[in-house]
Amino acid sequence: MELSGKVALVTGASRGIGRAVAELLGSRGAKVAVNYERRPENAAEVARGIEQRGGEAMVVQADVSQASQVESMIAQVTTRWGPVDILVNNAGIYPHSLFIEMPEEEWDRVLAVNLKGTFLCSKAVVSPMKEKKWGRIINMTASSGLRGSATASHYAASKGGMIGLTKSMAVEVALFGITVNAVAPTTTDTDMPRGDLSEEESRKKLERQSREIPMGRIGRPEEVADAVLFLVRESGNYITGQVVCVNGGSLMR
Amino acid sequence: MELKDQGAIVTGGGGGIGRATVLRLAREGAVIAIADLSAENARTVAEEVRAGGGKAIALPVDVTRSSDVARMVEETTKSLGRIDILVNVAGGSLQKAVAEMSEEEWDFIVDVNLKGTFLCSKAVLPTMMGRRSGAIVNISSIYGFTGNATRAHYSAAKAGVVGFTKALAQEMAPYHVRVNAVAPGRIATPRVRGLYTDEEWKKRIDPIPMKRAGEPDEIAEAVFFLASPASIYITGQTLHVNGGSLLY
Repeated sequence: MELSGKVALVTGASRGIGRAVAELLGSRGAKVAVNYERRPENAAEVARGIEQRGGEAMVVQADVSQASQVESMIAQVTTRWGPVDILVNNAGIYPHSLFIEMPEEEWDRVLAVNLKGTFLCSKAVVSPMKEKKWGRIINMTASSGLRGSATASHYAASKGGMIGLTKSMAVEVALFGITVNAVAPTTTDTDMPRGDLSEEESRKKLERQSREIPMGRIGRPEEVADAVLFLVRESGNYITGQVVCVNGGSLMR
Repeated sequence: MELKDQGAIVTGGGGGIGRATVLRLAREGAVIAIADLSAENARTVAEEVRAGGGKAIALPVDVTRSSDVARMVEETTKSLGRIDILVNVAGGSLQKAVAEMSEEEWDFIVDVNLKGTFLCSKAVLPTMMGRRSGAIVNISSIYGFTGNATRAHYSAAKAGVVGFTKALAQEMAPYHVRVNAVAPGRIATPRVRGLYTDEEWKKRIDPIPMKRAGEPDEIAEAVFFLASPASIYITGQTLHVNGGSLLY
């Protein structure tokens, strides 16, 4: 299989897009470390699913915003399987506040998980990738990182920041066989856009958003995972520093 | 084989990026019409496909002539049965400063790169819209984004391809026809590589973060991705394949 022998770490993989990415990479032969922060049962379920389909998986707990936890997560994966070849920085949070009312702590937390977490995890895996002369880093950004988001300015800033980080890292490691790219989904059918809304409110919100998308529907986690796989395979060899939009045409660039 | 029995037209399929695209799609089981200004090049690539066990027809086509394009679609439909994929690779460039550029030179480059893309796309829309399925992939260029001194016509046409891609993607979204573009950076096609001495080539490779040119196969991979079901939710986008030359 095309990813046989590769070690992948997917952060925030207990559900949603991260889960779909972990499952797809696992089905293509990668050994997959399923990172979670607060949902061990969900992460275990994802890992079990990968194993049941003949793949290899492990679960690793870490709050990606904490350097010590990131280090210990990478150490666990490396001890068991060797260095990480494929890192998917997917862990993220998406609270809502008007910026005028936004508590500083909420701003800090969003930037810490989404942006600093991406920095910390990438930094922790890049040296062995350089030695191997092969590596893939995929950062899960979002449409709002490109066009902003009313009621989630911290989220939009963190996702925009991830794009700047992606491009900068891409150039720094380009000579070492490592590519760094971002994938930018729009609203995707996961728990995240539903937040704390009731079922009825969620349905209305997602229907409204679907109407605003040229393809007339929101995305599916598997469709985002397919873009990650394309960048991770040898097919992505000459692609680095780019943002691949998976959004049904809602933002064209 | 992800494109088993799907019908594809690749314009400019006789050379460089076009040839690599034809071979990549054929490897996935697609049956292919290779349209090229050079009948001989089209035939050579068609023979390569057949030698590999695939099915292909060669069509001499000038994409800037609507009668040629109409014939291309007719013959493809007759021989291959259906058109699921169109890849607009046909294009070309000449070096000329704007101050010296004749109107004819401008028209020629804009027509082959941009009008050809319009004509070929328009010609396959009825069948794709009717079946409510299809993928069009247009080849743009890094120069469509950065511009390039001595290639104003080409830069304008390739930027035009991106605008066309987005507009058509919006029109076609309700019909489940996806339209995307690939913007290659410096690619070592035999034709392009042949333009430069080793020293000139090195000077052009040096600023690329990956310190190498891309291979036609690497563009073909991006085209295949955008033509395949793996990109079913991607439309109106430009995928940059450039070794980090332009971070977009």
